[in-house]
Amino acid sequence: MAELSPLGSDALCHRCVPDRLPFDTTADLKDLDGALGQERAMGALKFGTDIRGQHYNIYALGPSGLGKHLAVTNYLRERAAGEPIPSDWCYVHNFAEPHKPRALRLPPGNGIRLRLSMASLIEELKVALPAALEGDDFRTRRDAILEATKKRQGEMFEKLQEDAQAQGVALLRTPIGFTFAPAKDGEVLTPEQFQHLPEAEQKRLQATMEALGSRLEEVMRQMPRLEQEQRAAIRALIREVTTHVVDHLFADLRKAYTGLAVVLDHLEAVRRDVIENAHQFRQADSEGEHMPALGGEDGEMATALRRYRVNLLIDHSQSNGAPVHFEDHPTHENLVGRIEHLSRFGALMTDFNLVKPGALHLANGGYLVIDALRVLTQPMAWEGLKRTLRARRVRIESIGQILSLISTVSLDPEPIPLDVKVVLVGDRQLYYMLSALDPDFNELFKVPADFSDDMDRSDEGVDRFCRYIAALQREEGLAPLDRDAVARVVDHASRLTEDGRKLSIHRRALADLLRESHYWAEQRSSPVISGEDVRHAIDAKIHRADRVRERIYEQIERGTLMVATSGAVTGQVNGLAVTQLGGFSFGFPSRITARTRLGRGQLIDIEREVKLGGPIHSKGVLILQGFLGARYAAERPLSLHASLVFEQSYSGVEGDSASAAELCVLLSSLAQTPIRQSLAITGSVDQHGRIQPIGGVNEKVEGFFDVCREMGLTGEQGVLVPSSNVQHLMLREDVVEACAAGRFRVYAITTIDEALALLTGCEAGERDAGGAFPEGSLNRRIEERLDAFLAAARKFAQDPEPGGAGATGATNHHA
Amino acid sequence: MPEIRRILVALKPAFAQSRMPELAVKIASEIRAEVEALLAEDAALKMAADLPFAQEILTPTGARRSLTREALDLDFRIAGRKLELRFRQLAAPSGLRCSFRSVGGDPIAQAITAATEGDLLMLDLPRGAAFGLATMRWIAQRAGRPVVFLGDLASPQGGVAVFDGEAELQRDGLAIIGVLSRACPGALTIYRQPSAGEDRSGPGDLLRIPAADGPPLYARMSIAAAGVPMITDLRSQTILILPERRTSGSDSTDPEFP
Repeated sequence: MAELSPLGSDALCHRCVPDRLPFDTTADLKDLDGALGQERAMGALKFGTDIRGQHYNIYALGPSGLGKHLAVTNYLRERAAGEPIPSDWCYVHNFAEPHKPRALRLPPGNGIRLRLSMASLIEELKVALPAALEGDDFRTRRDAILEATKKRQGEMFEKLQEDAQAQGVALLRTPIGFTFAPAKDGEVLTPEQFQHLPEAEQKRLQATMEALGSRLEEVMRQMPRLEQEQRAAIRALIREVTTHVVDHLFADLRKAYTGLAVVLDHLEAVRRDVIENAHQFRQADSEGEHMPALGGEDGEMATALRRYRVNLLIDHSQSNGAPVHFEDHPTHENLVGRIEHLSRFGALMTDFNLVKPGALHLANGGYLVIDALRVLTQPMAWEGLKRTLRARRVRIESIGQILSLISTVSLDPEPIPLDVKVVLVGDRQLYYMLSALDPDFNELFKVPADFSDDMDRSDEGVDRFCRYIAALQREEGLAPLDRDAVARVVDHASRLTEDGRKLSIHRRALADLLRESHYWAEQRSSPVISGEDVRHAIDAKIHRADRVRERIYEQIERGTLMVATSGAVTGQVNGLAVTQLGGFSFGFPSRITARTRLGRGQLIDIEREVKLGGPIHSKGVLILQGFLGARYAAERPLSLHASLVFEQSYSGVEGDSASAAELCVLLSSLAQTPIRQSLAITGSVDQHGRIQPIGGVNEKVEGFFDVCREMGLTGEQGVLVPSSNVQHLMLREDVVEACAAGRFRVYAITTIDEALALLTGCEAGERDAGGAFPEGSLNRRIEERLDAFLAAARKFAQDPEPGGAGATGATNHHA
Repeated sequence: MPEIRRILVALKPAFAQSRMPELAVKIASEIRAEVEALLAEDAALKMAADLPFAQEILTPTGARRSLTREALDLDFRIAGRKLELRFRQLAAPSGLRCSFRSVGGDPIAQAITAATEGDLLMLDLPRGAAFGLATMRWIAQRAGRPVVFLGDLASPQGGVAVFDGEAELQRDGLAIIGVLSRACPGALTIYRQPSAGEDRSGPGDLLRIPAADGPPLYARMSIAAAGVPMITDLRSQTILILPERRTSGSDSTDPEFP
């Protein structure tokens, strides 16, 4: 096998050439039409909003920071502008069932008209009714009724008094009633005078007083009836006067709302109520029967007048098209509405005027956008949303009511029919979790709008990307970018995706880069953002986050972390790891060692043994066992005991990107052949020895480069990467320059044998027709070593006693 | 008419609901006079209670009970205490001096007897055929003092009617007329005696009565001739009788007016 050549510098980074960009600055570029690279998602949005079937609500999924909210909201707003304006909704008092306010649906713009009309009516009633009920005509007629009753009462007493006098009896008033006494010539008889009367006369007088007493009792019993008749007469009078006043006021209103049957019904109910309860509009008279309550919040009349108000829940008088509402705090109450209370004299009072709309009301007839994680983390909010969407009507009830924690009488407003499209915005993991675990979710949210975080880096793609950058720059109010700057941004966008053929369209990351580049341009007092500013922004951002990386490199340089970047060691290789701290990822070399000896075919992964190895890592190690067995022990036992470890690693190890390194070090140990420490290797290996791609290839290469640079570049150092990862290479300029100058190398490997050849300088070798590996090849050495283990094992099996006839004196073969 | 320094209010405990305490305190507060309340325990009622078969019909239920002197005395005391309490509560804010005394016998007679101790007498008595304007004028003449007979303060037909015993309006009575008119909402009408040669009655000129503080009053000055006005037209009005300027304590029992 010919030795592999390192990759050329042009393979190490897919650079955007500034001169190929057809503009000077982004000021020359027009804004982009539509969202960038989101054809799938926008198509799904269109479908989800076009289709009229039930429950075709939408879930916009994608990582945070992509600009999903903005894209969704912009799309919906543009669409909604051409859609019909939905109805206004009002709550009014339900005179039949006061605790169940009625919902009135009105054509848009009529809600506020009705509210103003009723407010005006109330003001008229406040003046007209008291005036009518305190006017001279009313008072005269009322006084006539009162006088008539007094007169009748007086006549009853007077008649009684006259009859008593005629029969020689006087009617006297006591402090708490009446009594009769015998009298003569208007003077009450003393007991002595009475005793001197003839007995017959005494008896007559007693009988007369007894009879008069009974008549007086009867008179007293009639008093309540007379008062009742008086009250009824006054009520009838009030009703008559009130009817005259309100009919005039309501006639005008009825004309204004001809054709709106719901309004006319309500007006009729109000009219009837005003007439029946007109006594509430009377001011206090001298007996203090009715307390004045004009205006203000206190008072009987003010309370009564509240019933006639209109609670305008949803007002579309100023709307142009269907509503698009974004609810950024989707609590249960904020979604379905709430009933507020006022504290009055230590008690909580409410009425239909205190019903407040929720986001579902505000979006009714249009679109509602909600953050998925937020709605799921609010108590009862998700359940409330689902329940409302299923029922297709909004019912206002508190969490306490839903959980039956509140048993006091409260309002139960009439539910309002719901016609809304809900767009949930959230990440993919949440979407998949909901799909798997919540049966309602798939029923209610049938349309996923999957937002991509990258796009193809084609010529057309770059052109659209540049326009997107221009639009972003203008939206943020930043200085325009020159060609060089845009080219750096394009390269950075590829770097973010770890793929030279892709561009990241992560809006937040790009916007942050532009803002920070603008900052550096401002520091130079430059009106234009240059490539240098972009570079500076990227480096500064890394510098702000790379304290830990510097410490690690320092430890390597000082030998605290033992990493060799020169020489050769048997059973030791430089693996490469990536760690992410916050938003910053970096790579660094990790020393992997292997020891082999006679055994029973065990391959010990020390990380797994101490539970520091994750399942994928363990899988990778087990794959090595499969490879070993297949290549070297297909028809014989594997008499090997091997152990692998990541030296000086005390935290968890996961992933299989080091499995190629592990296999190389294992084979090095078996073959007793040293591995060059100037090279590092990354890649996953399968059971056939093929190298598979891994993630974080750029960070890993750069990590080893940085360490070698710290230790001193020798021109011998480099990294072995899977050939399938070459397309992902977007290495830093300094790395590319070093490779171009021959001071560093990057090799692309396809098989483990290629890796072994590079690392050991020794060909791996392939079996000939007879099945033997070439003499001196690595595989041959390995096989010979394994044969030696096998022979030793057999001998030991025959004569297990050490020092016995079969002992060779070497029972443990350590690598 | 002398300055009013003391107002005598004659009340029967049977009239516990009377509005007289309010009116009396209102007038006394305005003119800074003291008030003495005479609580007359009707002698006739006590005699009636002494009868062995005396019964009382209670208001408002019409229930019956035996009426005894002890029970009556107790009711008098309770009613008297209530009235006294009312007076004190009404007088307290303005710091008026109030005094109370219970008297036995006929309230009118007692009031007339006590009238010399005060400058204005106020009575709350039921009006009817047996108690009309003539009787009112007789009482005022016998008392030799202006007398106020309480009307229906809540009635819109209320107001004040003044009957001057002289042909010329007694100007020194204007102060009390003004106070009374402000305290009793409604129209103010003043009736004077016809002078020589005047035999026609009817509404007269509008009289403007300036007030020391506040807006002036306007009263219709009428002549009270034969047949006018009848008590039935004055059922609700508070009536002020200004007696003729003769020596006080006239023994005449005949009313001089129809």
